[in-house]
Amino acid sequence: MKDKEKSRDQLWAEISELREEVQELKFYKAVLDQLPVCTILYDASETVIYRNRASKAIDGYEHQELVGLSRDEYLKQLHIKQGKAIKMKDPQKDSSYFKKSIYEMNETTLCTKNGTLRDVLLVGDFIYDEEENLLGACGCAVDITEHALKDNMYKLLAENAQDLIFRYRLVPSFQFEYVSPASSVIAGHRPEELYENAYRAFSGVHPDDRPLINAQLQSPQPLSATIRLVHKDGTTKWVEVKSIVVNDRYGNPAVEGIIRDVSERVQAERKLIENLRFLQKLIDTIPNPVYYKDNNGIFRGCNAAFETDMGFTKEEIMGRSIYELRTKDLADIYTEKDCELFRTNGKQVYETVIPYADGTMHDVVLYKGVFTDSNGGVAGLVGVIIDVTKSKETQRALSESEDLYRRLVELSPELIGVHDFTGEIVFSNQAGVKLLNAKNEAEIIGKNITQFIHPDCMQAVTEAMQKMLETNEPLHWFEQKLLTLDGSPFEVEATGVPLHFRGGPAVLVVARDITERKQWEREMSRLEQLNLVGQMAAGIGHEVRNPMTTVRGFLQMFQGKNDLMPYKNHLNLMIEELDRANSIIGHFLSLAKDKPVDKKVQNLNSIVEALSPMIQANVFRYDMYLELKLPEIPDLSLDEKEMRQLILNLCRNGMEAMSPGGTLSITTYAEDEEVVLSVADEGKGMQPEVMENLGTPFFTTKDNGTGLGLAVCYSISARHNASIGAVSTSEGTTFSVRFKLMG
Amino acid sequence: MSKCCDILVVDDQQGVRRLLQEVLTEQGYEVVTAANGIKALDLLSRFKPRAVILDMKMPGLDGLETLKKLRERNSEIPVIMMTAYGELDTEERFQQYGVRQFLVKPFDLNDVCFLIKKVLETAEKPGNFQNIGR
Repeated sequence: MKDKEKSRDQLWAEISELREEVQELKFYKAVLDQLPVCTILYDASETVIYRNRASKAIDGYEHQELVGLSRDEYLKQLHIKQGKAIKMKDPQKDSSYFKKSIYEMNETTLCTKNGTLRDVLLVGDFIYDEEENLLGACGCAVDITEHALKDNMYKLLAENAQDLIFRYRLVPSFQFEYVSPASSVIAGHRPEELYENAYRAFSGVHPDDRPLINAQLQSPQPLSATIRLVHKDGTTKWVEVKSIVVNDRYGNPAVEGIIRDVSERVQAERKLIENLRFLQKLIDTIPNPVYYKDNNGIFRGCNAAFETDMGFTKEEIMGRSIYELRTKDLADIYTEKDCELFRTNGKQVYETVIPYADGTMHDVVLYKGVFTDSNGGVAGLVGVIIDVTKSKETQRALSESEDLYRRLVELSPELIGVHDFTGEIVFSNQAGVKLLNAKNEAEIIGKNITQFIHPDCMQAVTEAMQKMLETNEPLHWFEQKLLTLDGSPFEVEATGVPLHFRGGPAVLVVARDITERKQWEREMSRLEQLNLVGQMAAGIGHEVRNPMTTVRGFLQMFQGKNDLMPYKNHLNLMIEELDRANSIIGHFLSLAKDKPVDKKVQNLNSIVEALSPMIQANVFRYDMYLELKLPEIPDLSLDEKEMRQLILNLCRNGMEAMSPGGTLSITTYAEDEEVVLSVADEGKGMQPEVMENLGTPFFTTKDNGTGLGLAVCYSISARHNASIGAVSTSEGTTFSVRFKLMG
Repeated sequence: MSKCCDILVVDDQQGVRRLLQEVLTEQGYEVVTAANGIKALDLLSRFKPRAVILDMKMPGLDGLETLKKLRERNSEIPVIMMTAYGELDTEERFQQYGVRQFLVKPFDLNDVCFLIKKVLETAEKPGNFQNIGR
């Protein structure tokens, strides 16, 4: 029916219907323009008839630039290529209710007006009316550029990761949705193999770890575990599995996770543990206590010696600070030292005192050092305790011993000195200083020994030294003469010992002053001689006195005979001469050592005083003077007769040594523990060789001397435990008899 | 002077023996001599002398030993010791055997006569032995 044939009403009805349709179209158009999805409508001839606003937002073209183009022209304009089809299968709605159970989407790119490429998902379909007549087509594009970028990135990461990245689902059956290529390396199965049969993935799980995985399949839980995988090549790998449970868009659980090969790490860890055990064993073997603390001063470990010596078990100290183990005083000290160490970040060695398990305080040396973490920061300290109590004691003993030897050397009455091989003196003790008559050792050190050797002995000493240096053997004691610093000779007995001193060969010299001993020896020798004379005299005396007795007796008898009266004077003379001979024998006898003495406690002065008139008379006779100095002196035990003889003999010698006008002095005095009797003359003095022989029996310098006067004096003084000394100068000689008070 | 007084002189020296014998005989004493200690002890028991003059130094039995043996037989007899030493160290040893008198050779004859007279007089006063002085 043509419009003309239609009634006005009909026409109005159609118009209003059309108006309604136009209104409806306007509504849909408005809706389409609000959609965020790029939507394009084609008519039945595939000509673009509409683009919504979102389209312009994606490709940047104005509507008039594209509307009216054919579909091919449109695709060409936007450089849209046939992309990869993504089939989406809806498992839940996979039923005959829908004609198509698979949605097809194209993932492709389009080029915008300003030339940039954008990733898009395209989906489209034909539009039919109720009578299945083709009306046109509709195409929709979703900009997935951002998403694709991310997706690509993740994919890239997953595909190239060394870790195995996976996702599997459990509904309706256990199946991998994604497995990264690392599965070939880690599990020994390519992803395709696993997509085909997911259970292959678990075939390699170590039997011990299977229960865990089975449980995970029954009821998936977030998992973080280290398990063993047996590779297809037979090797066992340690892998770390981390997975989470997610729900897919349909609310079904799926598991996403990552598997990392941690074999190396586990091995390293095992090695580390082994190393740690070894180290612990090592430090346990160390006999010294060893401990370590972290940088907060908390104990983190110790060795067995520490446990034994300090009396704490490892468990007792672990995690504790020193303040929980020691008194505050001690802990303060240790902590201060620790802090100092942490500050300097190096090593520390110091001596301190530590209480040991037995309660005693030990002298120790602490060796401490810091250890650092992998960043080089201070992680803690290690300490080693070395007990030096014993070595301290040894040191003390050594020092005492050294002290002892030093004292021995310093207090030795013998010269102890050291000279180097050139003869330069490098050491002398005090006795040496004194013996050489020096003020201090500085006067001796640095001088050459040859300066102190008497010329008489120089050759002998040089030879002895040479021999010693050649043989490296000590010298025997030998007597030699030395000189003091000022050149006075004295006699010593010396020995030399080769030694090393201050890094070079040297000679240790020990010398003892034998001047006194020599004098004593001479005295002894003299007394021996005296004694010998005495002994001889005793023997001879007896033999001679018997015949003398007979002769004297008969002479005396003859004196009484009248027949012999004319010879009375001769007989008297004969008897007198016999008596004189007898008195000479008496002198000899008095030299004998064992001559008995009749000692009485008395004062020497009174004996001298009693004798003085007689001496005075003699002195006057020769035109000389006598001087007596008799201060108060202690009493002595003396044989008066012998003392008289002693004094008279000394006085006679003194007078004979002097010329007229000289003065003889007899002096007594007390000195120290002695009483001294001295008889001094003003004669010319004695020659050294005379001095040497003083008191030797029969030694005399006088024409008519017997050589017995002084010998008797020495003998008498010996019986009185006294000694005789003589000092002689060109101005006179003094004999001193020294009596010991406590003799 | 009683002639009955016997004096025993003991000395190894013949000269001394003869001198003393002559001197004491001249003084009226009856003198017996012996040249050694053994002979002296023999004569002592036979002659019972009133005094003995004994030399200290003799070969064989010397003066001291002779004195000891003499004292064992006759403790009362006065003894005068003779010595050529002129030393009195032995004095004490002899004193403990009751000897108080000594003659030092060579002696004065007057001393001999004096001593003999003195010891004989003292010995004749019984109980006074201990008080013999020098």
